[in-house]
Amino acid sequence: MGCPLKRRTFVSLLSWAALSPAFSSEQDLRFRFTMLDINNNWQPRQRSLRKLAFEIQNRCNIPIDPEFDVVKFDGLYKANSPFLIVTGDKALPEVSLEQANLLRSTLRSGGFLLFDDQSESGDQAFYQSCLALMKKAFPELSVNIIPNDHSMYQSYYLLKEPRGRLNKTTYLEGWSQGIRTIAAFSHNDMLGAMEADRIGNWTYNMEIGGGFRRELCFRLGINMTYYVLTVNYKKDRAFPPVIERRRRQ
Amino acid sequence: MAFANLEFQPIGPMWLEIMLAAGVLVVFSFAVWATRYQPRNVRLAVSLLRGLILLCMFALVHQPSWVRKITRQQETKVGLVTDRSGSMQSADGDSKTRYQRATHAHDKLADLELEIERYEFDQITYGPLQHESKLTEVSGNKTDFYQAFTQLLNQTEDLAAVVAFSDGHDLGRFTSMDLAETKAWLNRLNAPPINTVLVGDTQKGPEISIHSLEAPAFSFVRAPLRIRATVMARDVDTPPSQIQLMEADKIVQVRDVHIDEQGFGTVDFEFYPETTGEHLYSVYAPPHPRESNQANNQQNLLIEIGRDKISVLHIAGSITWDLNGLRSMFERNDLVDLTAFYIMRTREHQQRGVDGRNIGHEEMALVPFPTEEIFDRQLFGFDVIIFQDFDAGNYFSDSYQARRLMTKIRNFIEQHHGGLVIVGGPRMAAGPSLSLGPLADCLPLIPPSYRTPYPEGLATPVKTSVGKTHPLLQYFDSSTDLFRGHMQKVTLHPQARLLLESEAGTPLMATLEKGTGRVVFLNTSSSFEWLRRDIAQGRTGDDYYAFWNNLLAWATHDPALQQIQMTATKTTERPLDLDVDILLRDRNFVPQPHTEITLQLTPIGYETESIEAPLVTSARGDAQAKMKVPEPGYYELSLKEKPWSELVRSQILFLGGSQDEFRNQEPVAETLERLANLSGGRFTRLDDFRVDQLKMHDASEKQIVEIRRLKLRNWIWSLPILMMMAGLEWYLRRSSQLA
Repeated sequence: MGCPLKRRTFVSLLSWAALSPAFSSEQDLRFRFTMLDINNNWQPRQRSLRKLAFEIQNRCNIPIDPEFDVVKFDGLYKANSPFLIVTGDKALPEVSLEQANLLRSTLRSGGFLLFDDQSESGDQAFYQSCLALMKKAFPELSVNIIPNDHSMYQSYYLLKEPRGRLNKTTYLEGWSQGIRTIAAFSHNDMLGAMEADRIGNWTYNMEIGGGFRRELCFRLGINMTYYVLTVNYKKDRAFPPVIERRRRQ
Repeated sequence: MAFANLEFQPIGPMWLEIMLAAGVLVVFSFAVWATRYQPRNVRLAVSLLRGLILLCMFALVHQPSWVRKITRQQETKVGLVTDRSGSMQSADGDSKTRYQRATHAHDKLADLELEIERYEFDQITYGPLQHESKLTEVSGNKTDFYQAFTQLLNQTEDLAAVVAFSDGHDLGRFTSMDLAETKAWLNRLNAPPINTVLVGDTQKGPEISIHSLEAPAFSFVRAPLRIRATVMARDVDTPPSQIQLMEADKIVQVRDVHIDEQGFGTVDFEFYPETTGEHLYSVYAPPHPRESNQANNQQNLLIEIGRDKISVLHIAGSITWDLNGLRSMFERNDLVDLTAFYIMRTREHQQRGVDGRNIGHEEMALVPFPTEEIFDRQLFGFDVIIFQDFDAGNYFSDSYQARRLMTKIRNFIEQHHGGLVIVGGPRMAAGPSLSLGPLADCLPLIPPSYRTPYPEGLATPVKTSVGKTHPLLQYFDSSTDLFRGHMQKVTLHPQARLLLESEAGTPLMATLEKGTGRVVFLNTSSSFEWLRRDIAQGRTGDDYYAFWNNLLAWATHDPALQQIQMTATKTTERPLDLDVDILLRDRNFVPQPHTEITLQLTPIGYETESIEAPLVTSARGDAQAKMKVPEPGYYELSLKEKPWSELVRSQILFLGGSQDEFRNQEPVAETLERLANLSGGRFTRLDDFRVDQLKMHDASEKQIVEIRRLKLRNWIWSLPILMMMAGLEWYLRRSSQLA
């Protein structure tokens, strides 16, 4: 007789099979997040994207794959769903010109890049390295504070300012090309607020506040997803009066 | 010859002049009295000098000018000017046109002993013509008295008179000038007496006519087009109460009109043209039962309708990368005026936060789908509707509303030249089938009546024989632009044209022309991948944008994507001629070499024969033709033979110069009367015209060639002369006392 499979082992294998990127289904039309691996410390935030995808699945009309892709620069062209995320707490390694060009092409063809800073207050290494990366890919663009009436703050939920696990800034920064923002920088560890273990316990405490503040982080993540897919839809002429009225309420 | 005189300017009102003169006299009297101790002869000389100085000063105050006129003997030429504009083509029921009658009347001038210079005019002046005009046909151009007479009188200085034959029908600035302005204009030109002769008969008895039409020559499709018509009613008991605007045999609008005491009424029409190209509209007033001339109860108006933007209604059933691709394409295209509505959540999606709270509607930026607003009020204002993975039947709240809205969309396509683009996707495949609703007959690809499988594997599209030459696939590369997922078990509409199919034979892209509109069905929601793949292969990705731009252009009947391209060119130099270039392609856009076709110009509103031009296309399928019409008017340019006549939209043209001139041909005596009266000439009608009654400059009169003015106050010698007189006076007085 062979070794009997314990129930715990079976459940573990089953969930691993379901959640591991290695077992993800063949590429399809569904939206999925793509973690950009630049030897940065992204692993501590790997469950946050699944949690965010789960919330999007429940709340939004976006066909979404709960799995996310992890790609390196040379796999950027194969990323069929180029919502790219770079998260970390240390300075990113310097990228080559070829890698910067790959990133440039991906973002110019409809992609979006979110930098999420895990580092504690006062540590600028990750931020500076992200600026350097974008400078290399888009020398003609400069980083600016994203205004509060940007589509990102009203693409699905009405938000006043960005939230995260930390409370370092009350703004997002972004790189815009024409009327489209192609990259954004979150200083407040937005993904950290979403990170939870397999049975749903939050991994990290919020620096300020609790449940509602964490909810606002999810809303920001959902808004970013909608912004990437619908671009400036909420700036169409039907929406600004309604949104303005609701904001005043 | 020259003669001169002195001119003075008054310094003010008469009382001031008298006061000044009195003051001068007082001063002069005192000056004479002050010389009482001088010897008599000295006293006389000094008084005289003092009086002269005072007189000079009095004169200088009045700004004296030395005016010298250079004259010469009056010349004895007469300018004979004939109107050759479009309205002179009118025969007024006679066998001869107004122009011909005018030229025959020239013979009466042979009795005149003066030399005659001949000119003709419409909006410019032609001449002097060396002999009797060879221009036996009118130009067709509009009449502009102001421009023509300004040119004429600027280039001639020696005319004793002008004799102008015209119907007085002016379309230039002269009509709008008031009396003072007209006088100033004639003075500036130093105009000789202009004797005007009215050619043409005005109608008598009851008369109702379209007096004038105001409308832009160019307007935009689905934008408001306003036409203002002025109606004139004369000697009628019951004036017309309604005026019709028509296009061909179709009534566009009917408006009430109120005729005022002066016999005029104004009507404003406003409507939205739905197609591009030349549109011939007619404004029609019903005639009076006893009205003898009913030709002027209708006036035509040719307006070119163009397109400034393509108005797109984009409705997406789910938020995907394919939506992102299409939305980005619209945002970068300045020619697209986008109205978008994306279904961002459905009833299945629960708004419950991770904090366990329900999320209120006021915390969200969502707006309910404005079904009524878009489909009931604005639908016919769009050029193209795009359903992108939209399960319409599922979304509209009940089957009655769904059927009603689908019926409106069908009308939009079939009757209002609308375009519909359907992008199939998983949501559309899973929803209630479009084949069950009123839209089914408009679909090039018909889904089965049950839910459709949508496998998401890659399919390689194959261009059909139609697709190989179709302009929609001009930028489509079937080897790289693969279909990731498509609806299966769809069937081709019997009248549709299949452009792409899978290797297994499933239709992937098809077009259908239904009624006046066009429909395209793209059976996948993965076209955004073509852009990504292009960029991955180092290309620009422009083919993706070009594909979609082409698709929009085809759906909106862009002439550049018609099978047969027919370009008609007119010139102002040859207003009755037409040059036509044609590119002949069959229904599948294959050029047709060495094919015999016949171009046809059919007059509109006349029962005369069509003008035909037989052609044979070259090896490239193109051909050129030159056509000429006998008289000005509206013509329809088309191809005679089938199937070519079905593949090209006929064009309506006005040939013969100005259609304003052609539209209103009533003689206007007032124009000629005003011109004659203000220039010192005589107005007569053609039948009453007599040479001995012409007014002209007297040959004995001198003609002033030049006037020279010298202002004595500014003359350099004025002050020295005054000082010399004062010095002489001082010398006489001083030398007498010393003696």
